[in-house]
Amino acid sequence: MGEAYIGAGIAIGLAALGTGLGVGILAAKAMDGIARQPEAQNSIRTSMIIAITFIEAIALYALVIGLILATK
Amino acid sequence: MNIFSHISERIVVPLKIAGIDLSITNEILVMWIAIFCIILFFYFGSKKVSIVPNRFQNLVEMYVLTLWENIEPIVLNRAWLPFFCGLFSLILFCNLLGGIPGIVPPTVNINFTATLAVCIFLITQIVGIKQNGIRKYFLSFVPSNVPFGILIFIIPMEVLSQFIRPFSLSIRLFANIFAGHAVTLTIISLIFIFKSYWVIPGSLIGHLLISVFEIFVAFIQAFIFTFLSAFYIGSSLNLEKH
Repeated sequence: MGEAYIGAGIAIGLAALGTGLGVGILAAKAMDGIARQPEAQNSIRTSMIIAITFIEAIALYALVIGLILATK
Repeated sequence: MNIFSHISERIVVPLKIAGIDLSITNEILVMWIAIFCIILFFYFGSKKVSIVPNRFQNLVEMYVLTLWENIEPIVLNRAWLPFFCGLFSLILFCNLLGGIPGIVPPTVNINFTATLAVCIFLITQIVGIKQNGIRKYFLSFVPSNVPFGILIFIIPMEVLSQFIRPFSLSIRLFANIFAGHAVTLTIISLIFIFKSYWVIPGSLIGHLLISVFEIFVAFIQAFIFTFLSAFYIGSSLNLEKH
């Protein structure tokens, strides 16, 4: 039973690592784009938020897996 | 005692028809309330339609037009507007009702989101076959100008991706709303973990901030679900343009 908790922790930890990297790179590029072209700020922000939700979803898949492991 | 008891379903009216469990749970009641709210919203929004809109009509027009502006380039057909507007409204109102303490939104239950996603999957296939003919639709899984060796990997991938879509669609919506409620519970339960009155202000401020974020997430997730369904349906409707 203890292994399941360790597995859940590792799953959510690795997912958070990947998601953090992904969102970090995405936000950096978006800010780059806004700095180059401040008049495109609104459209860049909208597409950034949409892309962030896609990346976030991957961490949430790991959350679901972790919950399945931890509440078995 | 389950730690997720505040977002789990409870049977309100037990009902069993021909061996199938059709009990009315609290989530179904919330869904009906959401549908009632949608009907009221659009009824009063379009009650006295005038060229110079009053405030409420303006809100409804903005709501529909903003949604349609994003979906039109994908679907290309005005006849799909009511469907996508209804889908968006249902998910949005269900999500927003979850912000009221004590109300369990249907979207924290994977059965609700999976049902929607499977419906989207079936609509995608049926509409694609109806619009393009069965032969042309299935030939669209085979990309042109690709050597045979790669083709035997690509075709299974294309077919598989059709079946993975409902999973990702349903789990994305479910997990986002579920995670929001789990975080809310965690922040409130910090008071009981530390057993101190001094944690209460921090906990309440954290709860307020998370709630505001949850309203944002409710809008974004409803939009993402609708947008992706429109993308799937649109890509099987208009094979040449994608």
